[in-house]
Amino acid sequence: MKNNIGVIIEARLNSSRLPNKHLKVILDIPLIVHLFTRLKKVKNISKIILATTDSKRDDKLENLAKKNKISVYRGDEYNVKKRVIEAAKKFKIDIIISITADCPLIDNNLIDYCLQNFLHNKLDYINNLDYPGLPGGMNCQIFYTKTLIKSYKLCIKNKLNLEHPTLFILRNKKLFRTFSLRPNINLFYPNLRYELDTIDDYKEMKQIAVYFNTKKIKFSDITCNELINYSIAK
Amino acid sequence: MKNVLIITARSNSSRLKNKHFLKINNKTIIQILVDRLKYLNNYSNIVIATTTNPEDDKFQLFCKKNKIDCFRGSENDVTGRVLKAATLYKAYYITLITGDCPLVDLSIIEQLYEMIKINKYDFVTNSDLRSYPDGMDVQIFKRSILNEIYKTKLTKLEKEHVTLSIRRKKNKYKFFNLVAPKNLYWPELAVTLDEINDYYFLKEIVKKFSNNLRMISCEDIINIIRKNKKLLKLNNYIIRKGDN
Repeated sequence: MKNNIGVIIEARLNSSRLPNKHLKVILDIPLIVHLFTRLKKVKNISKIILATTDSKRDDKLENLAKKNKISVYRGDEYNVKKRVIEAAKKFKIDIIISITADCPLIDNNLIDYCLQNFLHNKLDYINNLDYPGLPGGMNCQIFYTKTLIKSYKLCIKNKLNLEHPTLFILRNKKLFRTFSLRPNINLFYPNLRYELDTIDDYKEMKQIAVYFNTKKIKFSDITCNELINYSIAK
Repeated sequence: MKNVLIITARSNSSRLKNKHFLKINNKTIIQILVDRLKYLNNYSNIVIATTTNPEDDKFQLFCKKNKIDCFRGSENDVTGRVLKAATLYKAYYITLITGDCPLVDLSIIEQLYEMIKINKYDFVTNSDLRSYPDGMDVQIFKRSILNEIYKTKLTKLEKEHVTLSIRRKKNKYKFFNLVAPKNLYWPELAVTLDEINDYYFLKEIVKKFSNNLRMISCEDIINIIRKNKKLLKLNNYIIRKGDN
């Protein structure tokens, strides 16, 4: 039977450092919509799901997702693990590609690469986020829904594990077949980061967008390699 | 945890005798390979594992001149030869390279070494299922698993191809085969030295690369060939011998 592969984006607007960050606009488009556009290029997936909270504040995220034909699941704000599992169950996803909305510049080619290696090696879990490695903001994790459910049952009493859905898997490598990819030297830039945490990150992303726009490269098409070259030249 | 780089090579290759001593820009193929490998970090020794045949004395001379180690063993039991070399040099990890891949990408070797270490795996390779071009093959594994499997009865083919017995039972091990990213995916391309036309092909690539050969990467080679598609006609008809 063919596995159903889906991207699940974790996002909420109630961020302490930069409230409403996913709605911030770059080239007239909210950042979360740039991320949607990017993720639509990932190969072999059947669905993209926004997993956000049931708080009223996140209605705006739901509306934007729906307008862009992205599925939505709303669940517990703090028990992210439960939220992700429920989202996967609702949309019958067997393999979860987990992305956080803080990474609107994640290179979809890197996601394809992770997925190919995950499937070929019959793993329970793969990531590319071992530090030091890729620039920040290029992170993805891929795992079976059943792996996440198994880990949920084993760690249900630990609050930290519920907030970080895959922490338990990473800390119990004997229970799961896991692998961390290491980047090739040409993408090894641990000191660079393209994440959206602060107002300065937003300003930086705006500059990136403007620069690549003059080269007729869309914000959602910029690759990790191009970002690195841009940052080095600066 | 010592990582020993082992290059398997012998003069008496069925298709192209003495191939490692063919020259490109006045440098033999084996010299090009060894000069490049010396730029790697994270290894304790480079060992050429060749046969006890008198005609392979020249590998011993070559090693001496280049201040690397030479190990001589059985011609047909290559698995045993590699294991004995690794044991002699007290390897924890064996990084296996074949002598006919002079342009193997150093950054892929480093990348795979990082992966086996960080993940504490038994075996990491990019060539169990080919996705990178032929000639980029790297296999890194714990000496202990080769030691273990060598105690079982290996077939003739399993003795000829060092890691075949392990790869046939890969579910028993923590085994990872790296699939190439899209920009390096070209399994039909051969940058290896099997026949004389491969030699002409390698020569052309080296000629087109103006920088230090150490720097040449898989991506550079792919770019050179994309810009000079005619080059492919030189060797793309050759059928490669596999071990499966």
